[in-house]
Amino acid sequence: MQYGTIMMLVSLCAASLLASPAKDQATRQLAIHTAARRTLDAAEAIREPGLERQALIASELTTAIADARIHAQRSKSRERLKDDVRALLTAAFHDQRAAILAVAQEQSPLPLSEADILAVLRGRHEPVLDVSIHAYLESNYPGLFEQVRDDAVARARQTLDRQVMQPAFEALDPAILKVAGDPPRWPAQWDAQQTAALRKTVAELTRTSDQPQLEEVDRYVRELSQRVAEAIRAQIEAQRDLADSLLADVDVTTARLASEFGRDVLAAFESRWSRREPEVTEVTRYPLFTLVEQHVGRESDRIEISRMAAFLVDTPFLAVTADAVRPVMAAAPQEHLIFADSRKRLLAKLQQERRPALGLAYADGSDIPDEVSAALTRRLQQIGDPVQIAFLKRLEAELDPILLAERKRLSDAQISGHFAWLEALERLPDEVLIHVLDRGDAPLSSLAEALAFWGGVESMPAAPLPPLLEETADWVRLRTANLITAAASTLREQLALLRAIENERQTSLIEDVGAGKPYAQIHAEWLDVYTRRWGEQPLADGPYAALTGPARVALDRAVRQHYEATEQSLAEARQQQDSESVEASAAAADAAGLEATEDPPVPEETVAPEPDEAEAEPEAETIEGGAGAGPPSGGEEGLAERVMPDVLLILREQEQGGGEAVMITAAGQLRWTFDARDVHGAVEAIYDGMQPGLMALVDMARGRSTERSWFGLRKRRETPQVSFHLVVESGAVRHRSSLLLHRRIEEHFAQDHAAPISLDWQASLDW
Amino acid sequence: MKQDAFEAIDRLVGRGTGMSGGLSPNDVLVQIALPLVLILAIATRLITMGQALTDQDRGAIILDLWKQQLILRMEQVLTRWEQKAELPAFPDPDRIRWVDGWPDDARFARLCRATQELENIDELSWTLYREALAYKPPVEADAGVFFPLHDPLLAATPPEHMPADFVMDYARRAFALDYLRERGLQWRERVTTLQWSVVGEAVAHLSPEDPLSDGRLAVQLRRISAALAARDMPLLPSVAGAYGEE
Repeated sequence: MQYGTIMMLVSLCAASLLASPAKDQATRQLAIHTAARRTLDAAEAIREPGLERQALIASELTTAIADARIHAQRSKSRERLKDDVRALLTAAFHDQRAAILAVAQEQSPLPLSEADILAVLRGRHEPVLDVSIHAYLESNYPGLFEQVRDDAVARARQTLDRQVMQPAFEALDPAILKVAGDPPRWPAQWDAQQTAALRKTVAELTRTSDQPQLEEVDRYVRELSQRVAEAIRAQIEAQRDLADSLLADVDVTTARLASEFGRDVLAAFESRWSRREPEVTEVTRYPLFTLVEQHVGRESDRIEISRMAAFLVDTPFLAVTADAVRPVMAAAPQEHLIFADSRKRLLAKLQQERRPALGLAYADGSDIPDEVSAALTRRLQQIGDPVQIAFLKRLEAELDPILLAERKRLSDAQISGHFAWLEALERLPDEVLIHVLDRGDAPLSSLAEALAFWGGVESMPAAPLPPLLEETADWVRLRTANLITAAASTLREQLALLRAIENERQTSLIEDVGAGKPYAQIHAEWLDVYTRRWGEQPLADGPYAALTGPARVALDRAVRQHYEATEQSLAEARQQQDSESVEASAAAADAAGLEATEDPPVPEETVAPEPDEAEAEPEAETIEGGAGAGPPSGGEEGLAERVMPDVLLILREQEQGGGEAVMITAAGQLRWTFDARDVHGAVEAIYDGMQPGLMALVDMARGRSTERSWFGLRKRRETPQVSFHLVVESGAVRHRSSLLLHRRIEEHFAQDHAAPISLDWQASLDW
Repeated sequence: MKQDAFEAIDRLVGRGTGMSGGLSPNDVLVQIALPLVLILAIATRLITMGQALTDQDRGAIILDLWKQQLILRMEQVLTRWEQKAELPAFPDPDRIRWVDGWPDDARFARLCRATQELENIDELSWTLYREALAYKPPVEADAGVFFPLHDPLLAATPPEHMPADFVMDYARRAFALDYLRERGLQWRERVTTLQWSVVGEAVAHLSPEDPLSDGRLAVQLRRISAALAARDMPLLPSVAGAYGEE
C-alpha cells in the first residue's frame, strides 16, 4: 500500500470519528441490518430462483450433460448433477453475499465489514440456505433437469435426423444383398436375424460418432435405425411390387428373350419410379436396388421360359399320331418288346425330328428371329432345362395314349395267337395240381417261371414262341399266378377239411374196425362225407366244385393208415392180455413149487422182444397220417390198465404257436419248446431238452439190472429196459421227426456197449 | 546469534540503538503521524468553538434599546418553548430509557411530539416572533422591564405614544427572525441527533428475522419510524425520510 494512500485513509478515518454524527452511526447500523436481512432473503430466495438464475443453472446443466461419458444414463446423471447444482447455488449465494456487502458498504458512511453482518446474522442464514437448497433440489431441480436433458436429447435428435435418414446407396445396396441371403429372400419374408442385420447395417452406416451418447440418444438412434431400416424394407418391397407389376404387364414389352424383357422392364421401372409419390418420407428415394434388379433378371428368365413352354404346349408342330409310331415299331420289333424301352426310343426319335421346326415357328413375328430361334433351340437341347422338360412332357402327352393303344393291339394279337389255351382255362387241371402242392402259391417272378410251370401240360402248344411284348408276358404270368393261387386255396381248404373229418371220425373208426367192418366200406363212407362236406364250402361254388385229385389221394391214404393202425392197436392189446395171463400162471407155479430155488431163471418167452424198425415204421405211419395210432384217451378198459412207462414224452402245440415237449418220468417233469416245421431242428431240440431226464433214466435202468436164474439151471444177466412212450398231439410234427427222434434215443441208450439198455418204444396220438 | 536476536527485539520495541534512523514508513505512521493528526484535529475543533464564543460575546456588547427589548422578549419565549419541548432533559441520548429494544420514555415521547414544529423553522420563527412581541411577564414586578414593541405587519395601529425607536421595521424584523431561526436550527440539530441515536439503537436490537426487518435501507428506516410513531414517538420527517422513498 502506498504511503500517501495510507495517510489519506487515516485522515478520513480520523475526520469521520471526529465528525461522526448519530445519523452516520445509525445509517451504518441500518446498512448492516438490511444487509443481514437481504442475506436471509437471498438464502430463502434460493428455494425459488429467478429466471436469470434458472437460466444460469440450466446453462451449467447443459454444459455438464454434454459430456455423455459421465451422463449417459438419465437417472445417474440426475443424481450426479444434484451435487453440482448444490455447489452452484452455494457459490451463487456467496456471490450474492459479496454483492450485499458491497451495497451495505456503499450505503454506510462509516466503514463496515462482512464480520459485522455475520455478527448480526449469528449463523441464521446457514440452515435457511440448506433448507432452501434442499427445497430447490426437490421441487425445481427435477423439472429443470428434465427440461435441460430433453433439450439436449432433442438437439442431438435433430442432428441425427439429418444424418441417419440418408444412408449412402453405394454402401447400403451391397449390404442389402448380403442381408437378403442366397437364395435371396424379400424383406417381408425376412426372419428376425435378417431384420436385425439390416438395422445394424443402417446404424453402422449412419453412425455419427464413436463417442458415447446419452442413453435417450442411443435409444433414439436404435429406434431411428429401426424406422429407417423399416422404411428401406418398405422401399425394397415397393420397388419389387412395381417391378412385378411391370413384369406382369403384357403391354410393357412383347419381347420373347429374357435380355430384351429385362431391358424393357428396367426402362419402364426407372420412368415410373422417378414419378412415383414417396410412400415413406423419412428416407431418401433410392434408385433401383441390385436385389430388385436381380429379381427382374430372374423373372425375365422365368418369363422367357414360361412363354417358350406355353408355345410348346399349344404348338401343332408337336402333335403325334399312330401313323408316326407304327412303322417305327414294325421296323424293329425286338427293340420295342419292353414298354419303357419302346417309349424312350420313340421319344428320342420324335425330339430329333421336331426340334428344328420349333425354333423357326417360335421366332415367327419377332424382330430378332435368329436370336429367338437359337435361344429356343439351345434350351430344347439342354437336358434339364425347363423348356426342354416342357418339350418332353408335351411329346410324352402326345405319345403315351398312342403308344399304349398300339401296344395293346399288338399284345392282344399275341395272346389270341399263342395263348388261347391259357385264356380258356378256368382252373388248373389235376395233373398240374400236384405241382401246386410242391410250390404252394408263391408269386411267379417271370414269364420263364410261368412257362416252366406249364411245362408238363399236354394242352400247352409245344411250338416255339415268338418274341413277346412285355404286356403279353405280364398277362401270361399273372394269368398263371391267378390260377395257381385259386388252386392252392382250394387244396388247402380240402386238406383242412379232411383233417377235420379224421378227427371227427376217430371213435367211429375204432368201433368200425373193432366190429370188423371192411376197409372198402369204411373208405366209401369217408369219401361220401368228404364229398358232401366240401360241397357245403364256399369255394365249391367256383371252378373247383368237386374234390381235387390230391384230396382224393390224401383221403385214401388217411383211411388206410387209420384203419391199419387201429387194427394193429387192437391186436397188440389182445397180445398183451395174453402175455400177462401167462406171466400170472408162471408166477403162481413159482410160488407153489420152487420157493427154495435161488434166482429162478427167467423164461425166454417173457423177455420182451427188442423193438425193431419193422415195428417202428407202422407207428411212424400212424403219426404221418395225423390220426391217433394209440387208443383214445379215457376209452377202452384194456387201454386204461396200461402201465405208466419210464418215460412219457408228449409233443403238442402251444396256443401261441410252435411246439412244446413235455417229458414225464418218475423223477419229475420237464418242459421245453421246439420248432416243428424244421424236422432236423425239432429232433435236435427235443433230444437236447431230454438230456437231463435221459441221464437219470440210464442210471435208474442200470440200477434195475439184475441176474436171474431160469428154474435154477443157469444164471443170466438181464439187459435193463426202458419203456418210452411218445405221444404226438401236434399235427405239425412230421412222421420223419418221430422216426429220427426214435433213432437218436435208441443210439443214446446203446452208447455203452458194456452195459447196453434196451428201449421199449411206443408211439400214439394221445395218452 | 543469540545476541542478534535480543538486539532485534530491542529494535522492535524501540529501545535499541539507532532507533530514529531505522524507522519504517509504518512505524512513522503509527508512532508519529497518527497521534499528530489526532492532536491537530482536536486543536482545530477547539479553535472553532472558541471563535464562536468570542463572536457571541462581541455582539452582546453593543445593543440598541429596541434590540435589548427584542432579545429579552425572544429569550423569554425561547426558554418557555425549550422547556415545553423537554429539550433540557436530554442533553445526550443516554438519558433515554429503553425496554425490550425500544425506547420507553414519556418525556422523550413529548420531545418527539413537541419538536415536530422544528421541521418548519421559518414558521416556528414567525410564531415565536409574534409571541415575543406579545409577551407579558407573569410577575407584575417585572412589568417595568418590558415595554411594548410595535410591528406594523402584525398590528396596523400602533399604541398611543409609541416612540418611533420601538417600531419594528424590516431590518429589525429580519434580525429577530434570524435570531429565532438560529436557535431553531440548534434545537433541530439536537433533536435529530437524539432521534438518529434512537434509530441506530433500535436497529441494533432488531433481529433480521423480525417481520419489521427489511432489506431496503429507506424502507427499514420508515418501518422503524412507524414503529416509534406507534409508540407515540414520531421522528422528525427529515429523519424518517432521510433516505427518501424506495
